[in-house]
Amino acid sequence: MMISIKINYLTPKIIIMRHILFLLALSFIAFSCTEVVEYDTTEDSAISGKYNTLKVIGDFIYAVTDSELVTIDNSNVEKPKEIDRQLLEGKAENLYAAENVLFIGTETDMFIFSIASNGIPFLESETAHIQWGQESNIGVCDPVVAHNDIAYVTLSSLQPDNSDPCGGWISVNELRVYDVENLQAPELLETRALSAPQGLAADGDLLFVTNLNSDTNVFEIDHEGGLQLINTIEGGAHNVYASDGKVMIINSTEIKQYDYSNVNDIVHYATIVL
Amino acid sequence: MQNVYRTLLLFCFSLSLTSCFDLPEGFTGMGMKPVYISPDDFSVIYTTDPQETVDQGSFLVNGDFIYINERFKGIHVIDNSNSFDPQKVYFWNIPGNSEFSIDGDLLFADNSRHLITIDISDPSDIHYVSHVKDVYSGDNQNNNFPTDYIGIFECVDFKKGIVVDWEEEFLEDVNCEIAW
Repeated sequence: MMISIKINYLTPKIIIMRHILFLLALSFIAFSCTEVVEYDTTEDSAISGKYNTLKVIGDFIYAVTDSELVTIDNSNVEKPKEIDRQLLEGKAENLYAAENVLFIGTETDMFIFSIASNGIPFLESETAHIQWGQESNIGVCDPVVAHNDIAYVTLSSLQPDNSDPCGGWISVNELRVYDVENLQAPELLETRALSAPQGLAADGDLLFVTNLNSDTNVFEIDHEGGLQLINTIEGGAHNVYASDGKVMIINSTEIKQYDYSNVNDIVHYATIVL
Repeated sequence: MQNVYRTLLLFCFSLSLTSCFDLPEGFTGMGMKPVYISPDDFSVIYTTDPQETVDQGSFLVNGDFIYINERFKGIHVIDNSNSFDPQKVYFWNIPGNSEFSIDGDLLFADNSRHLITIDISDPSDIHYVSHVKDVYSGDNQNNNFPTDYIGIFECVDFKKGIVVDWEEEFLEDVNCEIAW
């Protein structure tokens, strides 16, 4: 959904002097235009792309703001201070940390940073979601979960109201698997088309991928990053957390908890109404 | 010279009949007005009773607790220690908040402008500890218009503070409108 915000200029209240009359008349013509500023409100919806953008690693806090990566030295809790700020390309939506590596998903790119011994991240690589000169800003939701040198990125241009913000221009709804053993040159291993992939969670050899408008996919991942769909969990959702045989699947109104200790028989055991 | 002025006057008069009368005054009528608070007021950070979730933000699981952001208002705390019967136990009031992380007894949360460190060792009574100024711009595009609303509203001016709510009021001469 696009919302247009009309900003009308205020009529200037000036005592009219004869010699500026003509100029004023001209400026009135100019002022009678209404500027229409368009905001993409897709991010505003209650159930789209809300992932964590703040991580604490040791004495440092890493914050991804709209388009910047900020480092804060928190060694003195009473007096934390900002020590670094770097510009990112595109609106950042997700920050994932694995050991001393930061993965950042933006609307347009996957960034990989390593953290130097002074706590300040340095760029290893930047991988564009869309290449070959295509329109790059497609309003995707793109969490990154890295696991055993494999990074997973969901790209979804479908929004909660089932509208496609690209207006048919470009529509991407897929899970991408990258080999990130070489952080400077991620290698695309696989692309899997899904209905509207959003949240991601990895636990052991399992990868959970929620879809906005259809069931959650449960994949088994092999050491080469290959994916095999082994089960599904009913219902659309935008976020997921998995740990120790328990998975939480979140939609706009509730969190459902399941036991997947037997992955072939995933059992629902609790629902939290939000 | 007199004639030139006369012509100009006539010109403007004719103009006034057309576009001058159509000059866009600001909008007037019932509309939404932003409610601001100062980003430097940390006394607004405290624990309250559980609140209804209206506009869900990011979430975090930490031990037996689940934390869910209520966009630009604070954080819902859910006790999941009995995971068969999880309960909302508190709401942490942090106006302007949408991003957060937890490390031990410390919560790090933004208020749209600053990054604030909050002591949550007693989750029923949280306390401000410190903050880093201006980590965020305050110009949060997601919060510069009222949600689920069509109509006129007073444009947000981030210099006035952070927007924590919207209230309906009779507005005169405002310059923003949401239209389909």
